[in-house]
Amino acid sequence: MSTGELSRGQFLRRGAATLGGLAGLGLADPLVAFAKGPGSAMPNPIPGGFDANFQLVPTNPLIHVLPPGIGFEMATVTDFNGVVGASEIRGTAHGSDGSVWDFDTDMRFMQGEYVDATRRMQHGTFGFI
Amino acid sequence: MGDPSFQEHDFEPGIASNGLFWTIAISRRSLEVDPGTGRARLRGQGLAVTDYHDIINAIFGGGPTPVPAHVSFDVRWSGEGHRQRIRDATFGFVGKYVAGPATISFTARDDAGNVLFSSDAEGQYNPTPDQGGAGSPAVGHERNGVFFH
Repeated sequence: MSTGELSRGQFLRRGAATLGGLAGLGLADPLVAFAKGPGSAMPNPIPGGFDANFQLVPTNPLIHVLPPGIGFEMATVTDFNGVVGASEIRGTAHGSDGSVWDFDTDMRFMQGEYVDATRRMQHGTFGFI
Repeated sequence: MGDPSFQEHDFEPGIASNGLFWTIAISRRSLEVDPGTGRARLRGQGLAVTDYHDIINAIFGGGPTPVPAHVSFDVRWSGEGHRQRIRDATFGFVGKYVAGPATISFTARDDAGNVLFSSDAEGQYNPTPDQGGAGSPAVGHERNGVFFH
C-alpha cells in the first residue's frame, strides 16, 4: 500500500462507457459512437447545466448536466420521456500495484422516448458514465 | 465531487460536439430497472473510454494528454426509500422518484498502463449536500423539453 498517495487525498473519478457498438472505438467524440451505435439516433442535450463559475443555470451553460440527486434534473437528454436513475458514489479503490485511491462517481441511465437531433421520435437507452 | 486538484484519473466517454455530456447509447440489456420500487442495475463490461486525468482537463483541456482506457462497472440502486414528485418550471422538467442508496463495483485501466484499479466494496457512501455531494440517488420517471407540460 502506498499510504503517501492516500494521504494526498488522491481522487480516482470513475466514468465509463457502453456495451455494444462502442467497445473498442476511440471515443474522442461520442457523436461517432451514436453514428455506429445500437440503433439510437443522436439526442440533444438538456438546455440547463453549470456555467463557467459552476453555478446552475437553466440555459446557456458551459456543460449540459445537473447534479445526480433528487431535486435536480437527472436526465442529460432533452425532449425526453422515460425512466431515469442517477447516483453519486464515493469510496476507495486499490490498484494492482498496491496503491490506494479515493473515488467519486456520477453514474446515470435514461431509457425512453426522445426527439433526436433531426426532430424524429426515437426510443433508446443511454448511459451517463 | 472531490477536489479535482488531487485528481489523477477521469474515465469518461467525453462531451459530444453538440454538448451532450458523458452520455452514450447503450444496449438495453445492460439495464434492469423497476421504477415502481426504485431498484435498478446498470452494467458495462470492457468498455472503451478516455482517461482525461481530471475533470478540469476534460472540460477545458490544456492539461495532460488524454489516453485511451477501458472500464467495467456494475451499479445497483436499492430503492425502497421516500417517494418524491418534482415539477421545476425553471429548468423545465417534471419527475417522480424513489430514493435509495446506490453502490458500484468497477475496474478501470489505461490501455498503455499496467495498473488495474478496482473499487472496494466496503465503505461506499452517497455524499449529502453537507458533504459536498449531490444527495440521495434515485430512480424514477422524468419528462423534459417537448414532454414538459
